[in-house]
Amino acid sequence: MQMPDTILIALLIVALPLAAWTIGFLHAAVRRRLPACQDWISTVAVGVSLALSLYLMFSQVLAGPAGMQAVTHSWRWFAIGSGDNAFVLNFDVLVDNLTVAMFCVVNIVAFLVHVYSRSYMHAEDRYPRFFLHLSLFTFSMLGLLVTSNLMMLFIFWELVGVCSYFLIGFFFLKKSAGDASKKAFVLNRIGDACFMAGIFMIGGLLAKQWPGESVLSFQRIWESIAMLGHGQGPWIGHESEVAIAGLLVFVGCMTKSAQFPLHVWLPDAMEGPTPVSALIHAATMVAAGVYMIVRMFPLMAGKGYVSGDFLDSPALWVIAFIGGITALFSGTIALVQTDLKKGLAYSTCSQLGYMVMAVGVGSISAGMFHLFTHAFFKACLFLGSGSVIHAVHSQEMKDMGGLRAKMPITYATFLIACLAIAGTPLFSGFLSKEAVLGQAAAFGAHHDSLLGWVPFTLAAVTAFLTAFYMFRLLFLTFHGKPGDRHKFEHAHESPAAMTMPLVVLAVLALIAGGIALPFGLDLGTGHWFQDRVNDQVLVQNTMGNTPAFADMQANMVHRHDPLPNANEAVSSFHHHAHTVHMPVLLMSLCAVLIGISAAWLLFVRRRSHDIVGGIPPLAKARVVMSNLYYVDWFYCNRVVPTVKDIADLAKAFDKSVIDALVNGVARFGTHIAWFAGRVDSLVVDGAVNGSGSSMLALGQFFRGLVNGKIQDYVKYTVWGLGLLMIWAVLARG
Amino acid sequence: MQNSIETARRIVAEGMSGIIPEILLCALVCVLLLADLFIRGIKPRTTAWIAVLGFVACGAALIARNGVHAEVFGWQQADGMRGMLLNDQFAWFFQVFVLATALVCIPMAMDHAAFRARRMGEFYALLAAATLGMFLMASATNLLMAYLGIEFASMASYLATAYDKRDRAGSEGGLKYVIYGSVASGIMIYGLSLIYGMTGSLHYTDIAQALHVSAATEGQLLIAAILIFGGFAYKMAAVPMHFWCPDVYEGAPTPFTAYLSVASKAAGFAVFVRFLAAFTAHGGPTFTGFGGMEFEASFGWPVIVAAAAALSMTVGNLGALWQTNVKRMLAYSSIAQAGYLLMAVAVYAAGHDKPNGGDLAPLVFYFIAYFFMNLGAFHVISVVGSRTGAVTVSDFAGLGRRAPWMAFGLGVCMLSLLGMPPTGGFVGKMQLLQTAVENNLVWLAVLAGINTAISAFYYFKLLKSMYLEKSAGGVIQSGSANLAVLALLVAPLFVLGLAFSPIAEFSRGFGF
Repeated sequence: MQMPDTILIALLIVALPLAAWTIGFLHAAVRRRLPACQDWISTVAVGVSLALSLYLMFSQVLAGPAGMQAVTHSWRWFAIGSGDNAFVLNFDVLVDNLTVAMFCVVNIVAFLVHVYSRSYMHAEDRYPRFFLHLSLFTFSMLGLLVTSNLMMLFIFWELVGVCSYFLIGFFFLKKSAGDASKKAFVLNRIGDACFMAGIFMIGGLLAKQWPGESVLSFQRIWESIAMLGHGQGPWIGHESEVAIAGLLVFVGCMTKSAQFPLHVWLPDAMEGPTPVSALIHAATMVAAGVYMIVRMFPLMAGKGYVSGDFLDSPALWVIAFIGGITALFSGTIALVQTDLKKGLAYSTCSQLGYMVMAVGVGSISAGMFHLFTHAFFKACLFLGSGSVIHAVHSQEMKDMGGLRAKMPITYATFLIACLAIAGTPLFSGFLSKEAVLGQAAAFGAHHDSLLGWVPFTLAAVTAFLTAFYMFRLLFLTFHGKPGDRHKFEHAHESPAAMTMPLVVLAVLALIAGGIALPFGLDLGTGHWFQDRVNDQVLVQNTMGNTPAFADMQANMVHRHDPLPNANEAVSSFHHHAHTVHMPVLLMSLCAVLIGISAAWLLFVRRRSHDIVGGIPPLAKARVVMSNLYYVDWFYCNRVVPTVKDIADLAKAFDKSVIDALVNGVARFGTHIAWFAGRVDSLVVDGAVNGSGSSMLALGQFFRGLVNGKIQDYVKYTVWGLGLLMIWAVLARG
Repeated sequence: MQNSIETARRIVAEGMSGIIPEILLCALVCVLLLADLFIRGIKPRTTAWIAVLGFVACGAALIARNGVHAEVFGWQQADGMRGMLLNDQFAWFFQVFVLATALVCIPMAMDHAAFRARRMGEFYALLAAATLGMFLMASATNLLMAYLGIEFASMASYLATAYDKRDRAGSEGGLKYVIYGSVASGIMIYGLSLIYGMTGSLHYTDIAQALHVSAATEGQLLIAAILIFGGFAYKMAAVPMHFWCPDVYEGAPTPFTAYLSVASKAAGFAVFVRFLAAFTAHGGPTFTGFGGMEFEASFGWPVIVAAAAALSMTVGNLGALWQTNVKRMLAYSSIAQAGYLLMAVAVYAAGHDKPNGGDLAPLVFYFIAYFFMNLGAFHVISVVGSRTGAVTVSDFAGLGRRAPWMAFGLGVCMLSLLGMPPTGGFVGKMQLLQTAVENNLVWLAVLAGINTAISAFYYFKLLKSMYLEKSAGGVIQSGSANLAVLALLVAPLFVLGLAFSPIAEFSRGFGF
């Protein structure tokens, strides 16, 4: 099969960071140390990857009105077994608009983080190793994006997980860093176990429909769901299992994307170096969960997927609620954080909640769009915080304050990013947040029930909180009087290698919205993002002429305007989406204004007054939030001891029952082994035991040489064959 | 009279073109012996290169024979040809396998300490002669030819085992090998004579047909079959004919131990499986045996083979637990490996008449993996042993630091022998277990699983010694040629473990 050039370029993009890693690894294996120029090798590799990604973006995705035609390719990795029983795993590759767009995001952020780290990490021990890990991470993340096989995605999923583990624990001599990396690793196992269970469930069911094929490819999964919509296919008779499989897969997303209540690892992950927080724990890896549920959206939507009437899907409801709760929950914790990076971490959780909720309320375009814009402004915020930490050598905001004049570039970029995340008009965050809020409101209007409005309510409150806590961080860090005079004196603007990435990201935080401007406001140019990343483009273009998808064209929820022949559910949804648009826009503008003003009032104007402390209910709430709602406490003091008790019980059972059994077997084994050993080596008895006179004579002759062993060998052999004969004859009956 | 002589002449003349690789090996033996004898002061290196050239020439002739299906030295009968040898894909695979093993053993022998400053022509001649015998074993379709092949290979092996005359252990091992081999040979030929008496023929096809209509009782056939099986089991180093194995492996020069453990075992399996295929070809009465297996095959071969498999893996692994000498440990390990391989043969015998059965692919795949992992292990033991005199497990302490690549290679081979991913041993063993389960040999698969767990103990013992125990010894200079050989042996294990589909596909092409 001829491989399209696009696939080749995509694979090259993935392979370059791997090559950088391989060079370093081999060098280390041969020379016992990493190459001194590992930073250059890694940076150049990711730089070339970035250039290729941008080439694909401009030559393919932005070329046509609906982006590129999806291209796929597939390599057989292995088949276990033969014929219809075989389990087949292919390395399926799919390159479409979403893949290329994600390539660009990952590579832009990765490249800037590489550049930034060359300056930020320079004085650290194990400096080359840091870049080795970064390269491995970049490769794994890009591999995760390029594959269209759920099992392969899982493999890369684990790879990014292990890179995250390495990098959180990069300062492993510090106990808290080691603990944090372990916490992240262990907590992710919960999600991975569920994810795997989901994969097995899907694979097992689909194998019945397509025996001996690579059933875990996205195309097969999508097709099976489309067939379900037409009352055929492997899911028939297992309708309820669609939601279960979808939710199991979603638990994987919950750990990776830090959704409540499995979010507790992400704030601790801030023990890692700040560039890592920007790359892995803000922009890319934590977004992998969102990416995954976007790719698995048909599974979440269930049988209504092809008809467009899927907003009642139970899996989507759960996703919408989990996302909404996470957004609000983490947003409130972010209000009271005193550690700059932790504040940003909870803000990340909250924004990830937005993205997950957007998928839950039925819009993968909105979810992905927010993922995009968020990647830039959140990376900018984290790198900016790194710049500040670099200057004052502290992460505590009480040590900061008044840095505005000392670090003008950092301040300006931080401000832009804050405006973006708060959702100020003309900034990218405004547009993507609008998309999410609008979709959530339409979801509420569509269902027209109290429960249906819950996601929107959660999101709207969060929008206000976001503006408030982000400007709280900004004001506490850059405004007011210095918290620590000594540190303030020594603070200075970071070198250009660090500020340049900040500037680029700040520009992107503006431009990403600029390019995407038509997303929210139709200026006659179409909807840049929505037209390219939606169900129709993602799923249907890939599936080509698969019959199950034939009528999907008419019923796309994510088209801006429904086609006249769309069915009722879709038309109604579109109607609601257009009606709620303006009120939502005004409401979120108010939220931003109030949030920023409140922050200004509390943290600039009345900074010296503890206003919250004066109002008892608020003060109480602050204590609860400062304690992270006692979730970590609950895990450490309730869940873990219970698990330990169970483990002790199991251990006791093991000791008294299983061990006794095993020991018995082992003792039996040692007896046999002793016998076998004896037959082999301890037969020194030279006496001939009479097994035929010829053997005897032979034995006498060679006795001095062979210690009399050989006769015994022969004797045992003859016995063995004799026993075999007797047994075989007897067994014949 | 004139006519029959003419026919015989024609058969021989035609047959000659079918055995060109074998003729080349014969010539190689002669050239090496004569060179050693007449060229004064010939260097070991020169004879080694002659041997390499000869083997490569033989290999080229063998590759030219790929895809051929022809009876050699055959005469026409009403229902087809009857020959002494049958060149088919099955024979071809095992001949390539044996030849490749011999080729790998040459650099090992060149490096071996005990062989330095010796006339080595004779050793390579013996290696070629043993290879020739094994070629005949792989393609023999006549019991007498099979017997002669086994004898020929054995004779050369006896001599090569005791090649280093100064080495007491080697001489002792060689003598034990001779005695044990002659007993095995006697047992086998006794079985052959019984079969001949019952069927009146030595050719597999004729025997199988005769058995189908034979008046002989099943009991009689069973006894003859077990006696013949004894001869094959001796070559496979399987229970109950495994007793020679530890002493001979320990005593023989390590390069030749490597050859014995890989080539000799493969040839033993080749000759046995072909014999078995002929014997089970015509079905027979249903046979209910151990563990409720039901077979439709004459003799109940599956039961015999399954029992031998079960015993081999158990005795091999339990015996290995106690060993401190690495070569002896690997000897027991190779008995256990014969057990795993016999499991595939049992599945083959049991499933021979079933639609999905009779699949030799798992056996072939496991042999490919076994080639790399066992030769790799012996290569490291030979190289390290030549430089430090290491013989026991504790002598390998600290090898991870003293010779990191060698230790890594040996470690990978150990993991592969144990059956750990991502190595070829894992995939091979998984296929063996899977086919066993699919063919209702669950008890055997479970036993193999338990045995794998037991074997972890001694395979890990070596790993532990290499990486966790300290030693005062300095860095060992392994030499770049040895490292290259190691890389060629170890890298394919990862290929087999990760990208095994093409090889699994390839291994399907060698059934009957």
